[in-house]
Amino acid sequence: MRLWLHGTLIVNIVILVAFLGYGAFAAHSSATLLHAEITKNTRDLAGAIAARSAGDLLTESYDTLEDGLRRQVLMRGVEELAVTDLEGRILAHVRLGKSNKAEPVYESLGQHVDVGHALQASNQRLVEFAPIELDGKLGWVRAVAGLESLQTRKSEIYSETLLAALLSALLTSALLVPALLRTGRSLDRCARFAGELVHQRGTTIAPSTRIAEIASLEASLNEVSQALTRQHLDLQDSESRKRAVLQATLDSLITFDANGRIVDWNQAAERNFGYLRDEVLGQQLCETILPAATRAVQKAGLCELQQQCMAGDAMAINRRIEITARRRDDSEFPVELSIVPFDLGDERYFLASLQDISERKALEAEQQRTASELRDTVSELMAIQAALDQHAIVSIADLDGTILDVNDKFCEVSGYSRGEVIGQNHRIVKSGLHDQPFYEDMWTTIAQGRVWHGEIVNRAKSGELYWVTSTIVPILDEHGVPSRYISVRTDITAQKRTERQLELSRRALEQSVDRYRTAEEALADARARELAIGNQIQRTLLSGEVEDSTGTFCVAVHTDPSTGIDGDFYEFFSHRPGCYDVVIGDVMGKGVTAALIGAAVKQQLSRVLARRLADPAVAGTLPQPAELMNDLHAAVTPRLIELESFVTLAYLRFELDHHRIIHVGAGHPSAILAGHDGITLLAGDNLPLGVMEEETYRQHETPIQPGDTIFLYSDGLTEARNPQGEEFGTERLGQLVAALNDGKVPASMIVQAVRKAAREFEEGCTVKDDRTCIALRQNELCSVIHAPVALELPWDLAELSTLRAAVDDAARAAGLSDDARDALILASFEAATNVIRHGSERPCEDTTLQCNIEEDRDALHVTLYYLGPPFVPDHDLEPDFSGESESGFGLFIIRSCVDDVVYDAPGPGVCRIRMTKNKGGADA
Amino acid sequence: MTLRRLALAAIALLCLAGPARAEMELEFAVAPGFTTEQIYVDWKPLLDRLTKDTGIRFRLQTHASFADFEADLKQGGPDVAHLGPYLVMVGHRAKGYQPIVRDRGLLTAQLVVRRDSPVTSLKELEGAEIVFPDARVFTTLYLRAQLGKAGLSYTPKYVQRHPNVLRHVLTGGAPAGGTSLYGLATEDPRLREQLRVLYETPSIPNHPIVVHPRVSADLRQRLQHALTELARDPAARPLLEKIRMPQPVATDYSEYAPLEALGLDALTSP
Repeated sequence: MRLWLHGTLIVNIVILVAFLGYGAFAAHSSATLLHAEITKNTRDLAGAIAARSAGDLLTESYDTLEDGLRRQVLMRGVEELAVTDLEGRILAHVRLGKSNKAEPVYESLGQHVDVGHALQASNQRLVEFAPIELDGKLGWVRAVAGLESLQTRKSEIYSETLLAALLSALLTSALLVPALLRTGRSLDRCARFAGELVHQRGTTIAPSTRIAEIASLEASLNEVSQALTRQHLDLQDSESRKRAVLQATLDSLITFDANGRIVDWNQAAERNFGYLRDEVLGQQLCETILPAATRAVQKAGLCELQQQCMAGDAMAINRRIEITARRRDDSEFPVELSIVPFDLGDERYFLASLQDISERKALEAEQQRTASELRDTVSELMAIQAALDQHAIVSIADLDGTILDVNDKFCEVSGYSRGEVIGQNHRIVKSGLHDQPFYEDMWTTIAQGRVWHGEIVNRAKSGELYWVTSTIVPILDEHGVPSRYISVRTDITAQKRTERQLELSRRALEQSVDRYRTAEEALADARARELAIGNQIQRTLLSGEVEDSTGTFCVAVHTDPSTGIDGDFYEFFSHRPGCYDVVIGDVMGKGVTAALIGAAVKQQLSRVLARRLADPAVAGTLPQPAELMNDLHAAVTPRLIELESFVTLAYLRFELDHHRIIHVGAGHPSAILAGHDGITLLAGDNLPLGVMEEETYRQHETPIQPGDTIFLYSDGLTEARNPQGEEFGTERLGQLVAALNDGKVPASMIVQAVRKAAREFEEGCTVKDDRTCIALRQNELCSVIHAPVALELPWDLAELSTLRAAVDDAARAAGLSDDARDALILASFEAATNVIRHGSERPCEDTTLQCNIEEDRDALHVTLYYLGPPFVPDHDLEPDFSGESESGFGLFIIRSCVDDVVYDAPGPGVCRIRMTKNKGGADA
Repeated sequence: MTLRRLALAAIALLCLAGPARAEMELEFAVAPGFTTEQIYVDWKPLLDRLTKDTGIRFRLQTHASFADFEADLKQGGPDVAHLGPYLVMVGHRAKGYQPIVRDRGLLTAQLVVRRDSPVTSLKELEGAEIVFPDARVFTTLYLRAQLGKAGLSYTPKYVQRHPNVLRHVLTGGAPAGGTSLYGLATEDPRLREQLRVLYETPSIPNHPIVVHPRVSADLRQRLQHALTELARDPAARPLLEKIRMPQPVATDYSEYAPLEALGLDALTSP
């Protein structure tokens, strides 16, 4: 603290304490006086009011009493006045109001106050009672004075005292501060002088004041200055010498104290670290020179070394450790550090010597890298040489071709030892098989310093030739002129030999391929011919002649051939009206053989039948199917056994006049009989032909009714499979045939519907086996006059003339008028046309349209059957005669031309259009 | 000669004029329901205004007690007086005083108790002491007549003035006190807050100003007209309110005659 401030503060504190003490005394005295005054005032006032109020109190004029109190000028300090009766009941009461006037108080009227004590006092207020007397005591006047004014007065006195104290302090300060300031300045000057003696040695301080003590101080300071100057000059000499040594060294010399603070920093350190001496003095050594990343670790090492040095460890003092230092620009560099401790006064210091070893480190790293590369190169070269020696024939020759060195492979291939070839000319292995220009070209190339490649045939010591692919590399001297040639060769003798053999093999193969192709073509021709023959056999020998339908019995047959040739066959024999034989068979295996066997069996069957018919012993008697089968069995089974083949066969005889079927089954799939009572399978119990010679064939009899359908087939139909591997199956087939029979569908349409169902079931799978379907149906003839006409019409608009002709013939026969006939022809033609155009997509190539023409007593019926989805005509549809649409004309024409037309679906997938033209209408 | 006659005539005129001006001063008495000071404070400004409006001068007269006032009235002392309905009846019977103006508002008398009094009905005051302003004050008479009708027996105590009645009730001097609407209205609201009205009489015409028959009809009419006209002057409103007659209307004795049937005379003796 400054002298002037110090002095002024002390004096002012003394003044304040004195004044405040006086103020306290004055406040107390003043309050006491005031209290006495208020007490007197209150007492006087109470007395005065008491004297005046006696009359009012006596007359009980309380309102007048109140008026008297209200008009009373309240004396200083008095706050409340009240008049009470003797018991202290308040009769009138006023209180000092806001505007310093007495205001009546009504709340307290009738309340009692304690009048036992004439004087009641507290810190806050003073209560005075005066008796009201008139010939005796009547009541009391009660005056209350507030003592707040005492506190107010005290506060006023304190405030005044404080103000006086402050003014006094201000005045004292004004007088004291200049005097103290002058003295203070002189002392300051002395202090500054003393402080600057270090830097301004030899100067003196001039006398500045008349104060004796300060003048004496100044004189003493001058003497000290002189003494310091002399000592400093001595020290400077010593310091200069030391600093010169320190600065001269190339190493960074850093002095730091026991706390690690830098106390000296030489020029080399400034250069190496980039910090000026003044910047680092006082800084922490570790923070200054160590990189932040490794500071903690390095600092620990440094501290350890420092501790060892402090402990006097001689080894530590001489130890040099390598650390990574940091420059001002944060770049890092390696240094070698040693520490020497020394004492200065009581303090322990350390001199750290740091030598920048960046270049040395870089040199060491470079040497290591070069040595490593050299080692790598040498080992690489050795590996290459080893690989080369394993694989290649190497020789080195001079410019004349004299061999200077060869490797083991050279010796191995050429048969010469190393000693035999070194010093010899390369011509020693020349084969002489190359012409002269070949060798000239080689020598010219390598003599020009270029590399030569080529394949050469050489001759070994044994006289055997060997092929090499050779690369000759000239080794150039410092002038770019070849000095030696290195020849590296690979033995390709084996390769050459293989190439030769391969060429020979290729030629042989080409000849073989030509021959094979010729044979293949011949085979294909043979197969084609076989197929043609098979087809021919199928068409001619295996198929039987179907008897014309008599009108009472319709037959339809169809065989779908597979890609190969199968042995499916069938035959019909007509013995008399109402008696027919139907035979269906299948030969095991495929191809022409199977076809020929089938044909042979058919041939043999015809033969045994002819033989039986021609037998005079049984003349006129039709042989039974079992007899024929046994005859056939005897004739063909031995042959079939020789051929290792067999034949399944079903023989059915229809005796319509006896309403029965006699059938023999020889391992063939059972025929299906669909009648009124459902399905019956006509199963046989005999083995196929050609299985066992001892077999005897038995026949079975099954009744048949008009309207029943017999369906025969080969296993190619029931074994048709869909993509899921499921078989079409006999059950499915039976249900289909039964449904078609129920709808009275003609035989030809049954065959077509079954074929279509099988194809749809297959979903496009390849047909693997022949499918033969035979449908036979006995018509119901109850109302028919003539046998019905059944036509199978091709699915072709151009071929419908047959229909026209047939309807024309039938209409004429039925006696229809010309108009009715023409109308029926038109309707039939239109219906057939519509079916072909719109009725259905044509299921396959051989799909046909079936037309039946029947005549009964009243009418002629033309019925068209075709495959397709059910058709429900819109009878209300009238044709659009505007010409904008062709729809509806066909149905309209048919409806107009015939007396009745019915569109329905008699069986699954089969549609029917039945048109009726009445005869009576025609007559009319 | 002529000058003498003229001088005599002038003197005669002056003499004639003198009694005429002397006739224009009327004695105005106010029944002592309030302290004399209060009566002066209340009535003097109004009388000054009436003088200005009518040219009639008034001499305000007060009496120490109702007995004095009543005696003065019976002798026909005051020319004009403001008094309660009973004294109207007394004055009319004695000297033919006629009411000319009263306040439009009607008069009721109330029996009040301290706000915190346990008394809630008249019956509870049976045998108690009840303070009244004065035995002859109309309020006292009217209230006592009504209390008598109600069959209440009590001890009346007369404490001269309305304010004193209220203070007697407040200080506990009596459990109940009789006063009028005006007696309450003129009091400090803080005082009124300490009281509760226990009973209120039916309304009757208010205190009127009455005139002695000797006052000429002209003067009587001028006075009546001036007073009723004051009601229309907003500046005069504070004056009227002070005398508790904010809306003066003309009246006559017929409005007060029914009081005669109340038998108030019997109550005048304490």
